[in-house]
Amino acid sequence: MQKYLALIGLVILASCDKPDSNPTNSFDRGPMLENMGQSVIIPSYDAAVFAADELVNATAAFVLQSDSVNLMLLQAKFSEAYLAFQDVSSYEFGPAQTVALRGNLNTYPSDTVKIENAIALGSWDFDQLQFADAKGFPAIDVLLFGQSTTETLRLFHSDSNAQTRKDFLEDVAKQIQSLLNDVATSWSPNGDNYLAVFTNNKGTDVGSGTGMLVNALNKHFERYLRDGKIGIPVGVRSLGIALPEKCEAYNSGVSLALAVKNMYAIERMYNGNNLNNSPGIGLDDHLIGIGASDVDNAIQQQIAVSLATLEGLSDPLSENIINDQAQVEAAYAELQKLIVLFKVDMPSRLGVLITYQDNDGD
Amino acid sequence: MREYFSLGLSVALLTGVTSCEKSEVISQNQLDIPATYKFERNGQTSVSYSGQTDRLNQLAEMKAMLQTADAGSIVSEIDLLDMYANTGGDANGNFTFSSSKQLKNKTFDLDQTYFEGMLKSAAAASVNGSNGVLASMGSAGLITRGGNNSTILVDEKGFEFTQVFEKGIMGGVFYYQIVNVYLTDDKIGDAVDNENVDSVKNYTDMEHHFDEAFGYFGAPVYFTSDYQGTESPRYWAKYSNSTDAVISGMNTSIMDSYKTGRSAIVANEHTIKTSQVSELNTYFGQLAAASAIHYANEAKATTDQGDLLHALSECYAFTRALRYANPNQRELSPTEVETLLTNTFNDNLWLVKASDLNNLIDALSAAYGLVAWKDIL
Repeated sequence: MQKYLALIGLVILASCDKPDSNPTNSFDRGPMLENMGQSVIIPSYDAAVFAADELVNATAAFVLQSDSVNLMLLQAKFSEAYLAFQDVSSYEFGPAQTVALRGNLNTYPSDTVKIENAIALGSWDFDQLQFADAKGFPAIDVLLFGQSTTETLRLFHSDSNAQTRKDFLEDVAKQIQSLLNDVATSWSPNGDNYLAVFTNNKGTDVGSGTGMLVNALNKHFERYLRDGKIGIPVGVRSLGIALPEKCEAYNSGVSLALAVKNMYAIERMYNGNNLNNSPGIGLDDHLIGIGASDVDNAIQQQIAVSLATLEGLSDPLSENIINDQAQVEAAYAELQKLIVLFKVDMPSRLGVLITYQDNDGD
Repeated sequence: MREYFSLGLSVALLTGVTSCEKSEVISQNQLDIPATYKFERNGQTSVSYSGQTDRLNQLAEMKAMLQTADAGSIVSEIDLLDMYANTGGDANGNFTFSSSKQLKNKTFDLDQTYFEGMLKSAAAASVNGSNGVLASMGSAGLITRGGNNSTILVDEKGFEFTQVFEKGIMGGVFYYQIVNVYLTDDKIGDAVDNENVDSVKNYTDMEHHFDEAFGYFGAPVYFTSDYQGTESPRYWAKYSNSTDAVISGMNTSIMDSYKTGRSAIVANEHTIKTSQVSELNTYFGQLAAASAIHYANEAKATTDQGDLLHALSECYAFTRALRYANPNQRELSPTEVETLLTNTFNDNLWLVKASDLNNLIDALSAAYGLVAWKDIL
């Protein structure tokens, strides 16, 4: 906290000094932002939209003919779309922030009672924030995996609410598709061209491209990856009492796969690497460019350790937590070590202010 | 951190550029402005706002009682109403301290019933909470917050009692008293006595009234933008401090206005005093609006339903607080605030949409000069 507050003073002083005194000016952030926008962020959204299109198509096929073959195909497309979402979920600023993408698509665990009530009543409005835990990928996880395959087929085929359940499932899939499409279109130079806003704002102040990138990276990593995917299920917020049912994708059991995918996305977000992991100009180059290779080295090393530790766990993560809680706690501890590097060392060297706040807890 | 920010009024700030100019009001520079909110006469302090501190403490104890209901205990309507009116000097034993002061009679007259109704509802709902009833649309009860693994008690429309009451009183008492009572001509205008010094209390009426306006802010006397003190800023000062992390200079701006205004009173420089009062009116409006925007962004960002209702409750209460602005210096009238509330929340937090919050954020940021910060607050 001390360092954080000191940073405010530093930024303000810097803004009053001669420009040359600011070491971060020696790095041209323009190409970094262009690489991030054009080669990393936009292609990731495009890939997520493509996967969501496939999900919607598979949903339509299953709704038309609710048999085991179509269910299996749909389940596979669901996992693919959920994985593709992991590549974009950390970019919650600009267009994604406007539509509240992460909350709309990935609030978990789902409230199964709310879902069943909505289906029984035949009434839902997914624009209302109260439906956040009754839609998105977690709702599909419940609808397709929350019971045995036989029971799933019965619910969608011969149950008295089968048609409403189909409508509900289709609406969930379509909202995933439409929100991802909205965000992709907003970023696109052929659409609202948010890319230009992002790349033209080359400073490091609070509204700059770099400022938003660093803040989004931190907020996502801390709250949604470290806590949401690992910390809360393993019990760090509940006196060490494990809450395995709070795992992402609890029913389909691909929690760890999603977490690992998301961690690789964070790594690429930091390194500026595209979906094929081809190198591009990223925050790592920025740090190196201003003589902060020490910070970059520490981050690279800790990302590698975090990934290795995560990959040493096994799916279903919920069972891993039950069988060997200490192992998952150890993975959390490695993720935790990244926080100080991402949130204090990197921003202070880059001259970026961390503006998001921890939950106030009151 | 000696820069002087004129938030919102300053073109520089509106464009997101930090002004580095020193204060340019020449006569203001001639004032003897202390580094902290510390004023003395004959070697003794001339500052007193113990009545305000009592009320801040009363609200803290009321909040603590409401939080027992958040945790699933039953709270008594009589106890809560006794605390609000401070019956018997210590709320019939519910406060840990005695005082002649109370929150109720300092609440904006037309809203006393509103707050009493809220306390009655909280007591009634706490029975649900104690029976383990879970909150849902149409039913008051408890809902867990994933963010900190606790529960909160909300009414049948999703409003968290603790927040709408605490922030409500911050608006209906603290903010209302600052800008509509103590910083008005009735209390610090040129006709108010600024000559006779009470020999015991060591202050003039005008000085004391201004200090009371400071007491309601909740700040340590040495509060600044680079605040690292051990004494926690409270209520509005607490939110100034969190806003300050995004809008650098917020704390110092408010403190400078308080210190300069008080110094101007000591020096009988009433033009400067008036300009500082004007600044304070602007800052408090921006502070409430910025806090509302912050919680609107939080509500959009959260992936937890308990955190959602918490953030929406805070957002609602901070937006509603804007109704208490001084009529002569406000950006939005109570009617306009009411319209915003209706359009955004429609008296039911369960029905709020992200697009409703976007509209609120746009409206508030435009009205209060906060556009540059609207996405990051």
